[in-house]
Amino acid sequence: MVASARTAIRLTVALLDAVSARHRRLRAEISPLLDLHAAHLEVLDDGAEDEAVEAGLSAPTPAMARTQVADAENSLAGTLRDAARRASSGELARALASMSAAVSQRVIA
Amino acid sequence: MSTLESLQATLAAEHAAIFVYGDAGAHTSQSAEPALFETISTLYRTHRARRDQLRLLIADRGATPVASAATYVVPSRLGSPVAVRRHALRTEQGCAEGYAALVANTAGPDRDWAIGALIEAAQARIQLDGAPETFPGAPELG
Repeated sequence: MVASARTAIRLTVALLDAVSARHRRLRAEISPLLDLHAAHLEVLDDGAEDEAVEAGLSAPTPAMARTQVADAENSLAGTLRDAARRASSGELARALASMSAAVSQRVIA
Repeated sequence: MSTLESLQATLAAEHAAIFVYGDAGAHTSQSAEPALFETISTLYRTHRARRDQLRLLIADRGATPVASAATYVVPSRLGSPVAVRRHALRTEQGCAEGYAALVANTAGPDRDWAIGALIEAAQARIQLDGAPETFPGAPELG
């Protein structure tokens, strides 16, 4: 459960990195998201080695990339919500639900 | 805390939130602050709906849902939109922490309900012009 949640977050981070590298003017918007995901990964760090994730491919225009980021964050919120639903530990469920809520907050902010 | 205790605690928080939003609505001008009035009205209805759902979840367990208190302490100075927003934000924060606790103390459909409520409370914070959080409902994780 923790491993799959970490992978989902890291995939999103990889996409954000790719978008940030391709569209400099989106960096200011993306930076708080990267900080958020870093804080979440820290809580989910159980010492296990992470599987490699492939770097995301950024959309060609800033407008498309912004939509791409919003879609990825929405998808991540859903993945974290589903992980919270299925977690066997109540405290892990609480943490995952809080992370899903945080990502959902950024999507509408 | 048992699931039932957690449900009752969440219901008690809903009763308080409904009181707060009723008071906040009375202190918000629909003509001068239409957006805030709409947000407060929506959140009032949302908490009433959650209260009714929680009552059912508790009654389904054969327990008596906790009643609302006779009155609640609210700030005496809710005369400005800023004060109304601040108090509403505090209310949503308290409810979010309750929903997060309920997530930890439930499973299955009850947990799913609590997760949904937590997400909505976090989004309500943004609608009230609050800043986004790293761990809504679970600030000690940050």
